Amino acid sequence: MANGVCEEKIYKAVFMEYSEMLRNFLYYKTSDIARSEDLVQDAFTKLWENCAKVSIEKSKSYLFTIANNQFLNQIAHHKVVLKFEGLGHSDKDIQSPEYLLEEKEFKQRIENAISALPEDQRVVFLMNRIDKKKYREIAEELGLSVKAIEKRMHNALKSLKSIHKKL
Amino acid sequence: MSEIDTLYARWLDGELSAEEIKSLKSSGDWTELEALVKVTSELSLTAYDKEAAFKKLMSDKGANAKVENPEAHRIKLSTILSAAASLALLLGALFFLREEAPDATAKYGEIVQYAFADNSSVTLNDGSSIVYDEDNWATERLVKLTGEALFDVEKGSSFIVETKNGTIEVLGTSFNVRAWDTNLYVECYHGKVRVNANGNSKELTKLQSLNIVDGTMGTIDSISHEKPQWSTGNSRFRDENLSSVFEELERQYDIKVKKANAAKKFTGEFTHDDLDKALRQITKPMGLDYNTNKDSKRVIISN
Repeated sequence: MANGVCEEKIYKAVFMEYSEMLRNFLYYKTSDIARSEDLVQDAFTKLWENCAKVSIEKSKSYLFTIANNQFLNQIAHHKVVLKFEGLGHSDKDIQSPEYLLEEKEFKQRIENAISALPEDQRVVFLMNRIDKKKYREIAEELGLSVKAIEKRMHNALKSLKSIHKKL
Repeated sequence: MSEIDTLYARWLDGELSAEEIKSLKSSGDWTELEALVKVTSELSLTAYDKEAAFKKLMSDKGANAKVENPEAHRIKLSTILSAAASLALLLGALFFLREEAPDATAKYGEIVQYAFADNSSVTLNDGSSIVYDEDNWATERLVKLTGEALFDVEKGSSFIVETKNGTIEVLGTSFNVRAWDTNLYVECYHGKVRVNANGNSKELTKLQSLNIVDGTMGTIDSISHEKPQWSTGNSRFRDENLSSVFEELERQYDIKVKKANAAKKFTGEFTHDDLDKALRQITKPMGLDYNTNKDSKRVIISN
């Protein structure tokens, strides 16, 4: 059915499927979680307005295109400062103050290093590492070739790999 | 672009030949790469509440008519309150329909809006739910309510709200239902409603209320507010069993209350956004004391 997305149930299913990855994608670009979540709402509002024209299969790339377009008219690029979770180690027995401090410093180092990557590489790298996406999927969402994704990924890995050395 | 340019990336995606892996492993970068990949596979972002985001999206839409989609009747939620000749009533009684899956449910601490196909709508207070027959809505507007809800009814055939303790037949356009335990409390803001319980029936008109406790109808009283108090962040009671008041408090704050002297009747209200204040609002006029434990999840009421 051409206008399936106009059905509230289907619209909701699309939201449940794609809203989080879209929000993450926007966060990798902006490092502003509140803004990213607002932009997700904007993108889905657009999808709703155009639900008669966008098929269920096309809705994902439509959403990414809309989200991407949000930035085309913006000139000011504030510094990206990404924050992550999930780096803490669960082994409570070895959490001496020194260890915790070390862990905190390492977390910060990773955050800084990833934040400092060029946007192209950063977005691709995090879509793979956090959202666990294959290159093919990222390529589809960004409208790029798999080769281009590999290239960005390779460069990101290359600049980040020395991160342990400094510890 | 030469193949070697994307070696690391292709390794991560499992695309390397055995030979390529061998040469990568022998290079000085191997240990670093492995460690980097391991560490970054643990990365995550702060949690994202999809359900809440979707709810917000839908309620924003309801408030903003320009993004409304003409094809979806059930999206418009909060724009109907001003309908002409509207009738609102507030009633209380607990429902039975345990075996049916509810069509709309408000979890504890939550207020949920739901719109029917004819643009009538219901706002469910927390812990409440409704069941109705969507397919026959055009011919029979019948809603079974568990808990408490505000109804806003569009003109049309009769609109009936069934509760365990009585049935409310709406003779106008908009109303609010509240229903717990053996109590049924109805407030009518505009228009007219008829309340039926235990073979008795009374009609309420503009700004009148009726309380039914254990099947016994009280007298019709007048009220001065034009909206149920809970929809503005308060719960209001008139001659209510104190135990029911504490039950409402438990639902609103998702806490446990250990009650004393529940046989008393309470008239008054409590706020929804400050537990301490709410406890004072209830206990002070009743001459009671209260204690909360550290995380405010348990409250003990004493004489």
